Amino acid sequence: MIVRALATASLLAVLGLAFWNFYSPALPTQWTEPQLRLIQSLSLSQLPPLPPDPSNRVADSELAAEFGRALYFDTRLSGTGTVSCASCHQPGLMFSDGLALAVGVASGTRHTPSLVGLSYSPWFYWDGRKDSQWAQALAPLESRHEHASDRLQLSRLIAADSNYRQYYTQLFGTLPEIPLTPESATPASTAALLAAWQTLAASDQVQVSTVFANIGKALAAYQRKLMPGPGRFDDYADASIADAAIHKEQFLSSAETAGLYLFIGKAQCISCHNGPLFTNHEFHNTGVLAVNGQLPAMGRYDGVRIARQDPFNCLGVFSDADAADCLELRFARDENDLVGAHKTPTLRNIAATAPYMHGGQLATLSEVLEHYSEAPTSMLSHNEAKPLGLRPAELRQLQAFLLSLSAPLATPSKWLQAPQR
Amino acid sequence: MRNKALWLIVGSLLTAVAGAREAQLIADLEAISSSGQSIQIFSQLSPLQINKIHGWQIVVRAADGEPVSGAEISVSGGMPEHDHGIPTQPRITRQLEPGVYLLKGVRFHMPGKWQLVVEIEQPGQTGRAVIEFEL
Repeated sequence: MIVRALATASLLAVLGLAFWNFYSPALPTQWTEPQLRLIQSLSLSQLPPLPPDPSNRVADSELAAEFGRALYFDTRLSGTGTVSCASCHQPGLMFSDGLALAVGVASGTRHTPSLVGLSYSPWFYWDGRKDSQWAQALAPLESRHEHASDRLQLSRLIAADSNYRQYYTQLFGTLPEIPLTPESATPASTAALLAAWQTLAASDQVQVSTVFANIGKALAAYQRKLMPGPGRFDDYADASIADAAIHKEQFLSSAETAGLYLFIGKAQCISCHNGPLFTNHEFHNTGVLAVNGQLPAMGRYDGVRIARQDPFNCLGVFSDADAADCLELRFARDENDLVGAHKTPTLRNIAATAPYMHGGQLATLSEVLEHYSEAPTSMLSHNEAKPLGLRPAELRQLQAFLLSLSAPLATPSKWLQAPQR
Repeated sequence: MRNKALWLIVGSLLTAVAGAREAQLIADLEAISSSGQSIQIFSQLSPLQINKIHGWQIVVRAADGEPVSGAEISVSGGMPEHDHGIPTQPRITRQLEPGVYLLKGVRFHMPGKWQLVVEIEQPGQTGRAVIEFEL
């Protein structure tokens, strides 16, 4: 008798577990009007033209993009001669590096984000410490663990390389005389380099910083070429304009479609991962653990303050913009709810850009999805996300949908490799 | 025949002009403040949408319909369901004409329910209105 009762209870437990793990209710056959609007808002066909960058007058120059491409792949832009932008932002990995934390000349403290479609963002870095793509491009060049170079050496490289010198002159006018000593100098790095910088005349400092800013502007013009291409999801979304049918197996499998249903619904992913690039380019605290061995990061709270102090920001002397163009910087929010907030990354080609989060804290997509389903308490400030309590079957469906967002770039292949020298 | 075509063109032009004017007169958001002032918001981006920074004209009239000039106006708020504010810090940059204020730096970053608080400070009184809308 007892044996039979135990057997029945075990059977029920196994069935219950299987149900919890694998059961998935059938989807309706038609999307509702509001669901269709959300789906279509995610399609790449809805991507507006790239907004101009008034702070960079060569942002949309082909010549500047060519100059930027040559600089992007050039390891001479590092103090050791071994690191280029492409060392971490690798074309073969959707312009990321596959590592938890970036490794340039030395190990860094942040995960390398993809550059694809990033030119649409008003803010750069995980904490938004830069307000333009050209200003962003400058910081790694002088950072000790990334390129470990400095603006004086970089200006000298432009002057010494006849190809670069020609690009520079055509785009920005006559290259100024670059001081021959000291060997290295910058106001933005170590005390020794700052002391060296202070030996330069003020007029030389402005000229060297101007050449440096122009290097950033060419690098930004190149990065504006890096655009995602349409994939199966976009075909699905565009086909649903004509026909609200949920099941379109020629584009998305039933698991992927179920994932999309969750993505725009119960799982609320679309709250932040919205628009054709699957990102609102904004900053959110989602309770991600601090990077191992680091204090919890202040995120956007510090980032916006750094951006305001940055001499290369939209309002600074190196910017080509009028103050009226610098709306994002002038009206940036800086309140306490930005403590611990980091930038929403794109989900396009997410399969190629593991690991995830600002410090690469989560190795796989399934870990990311479990994190959001659980929505743990944040170490700093509060987690904006609420627990979702998704079942294993639902997590798998979401993952299937995310994996369907992979597609070759829209960028012509010549931009994905170094120019012939 | 020719005349008829001409009249048709003139007629449709007039309709278009009237339509455009009417569109300008329909506010994107409206509310009555705790002090009885009417608040009308006309957005540069209409209908309102996410992820684009833009400006608003805010028209404030007293209960008797007179424009409210020289008031200190602030706009704050966020998404109550997500415990966060507006991603930007919009503020009034100038008064365009009596009772018409230019608010710059507005951007929303999520679809869903937004709640804004408009405060109108004048000597001796403060009006407050909560405006809820869906994006």
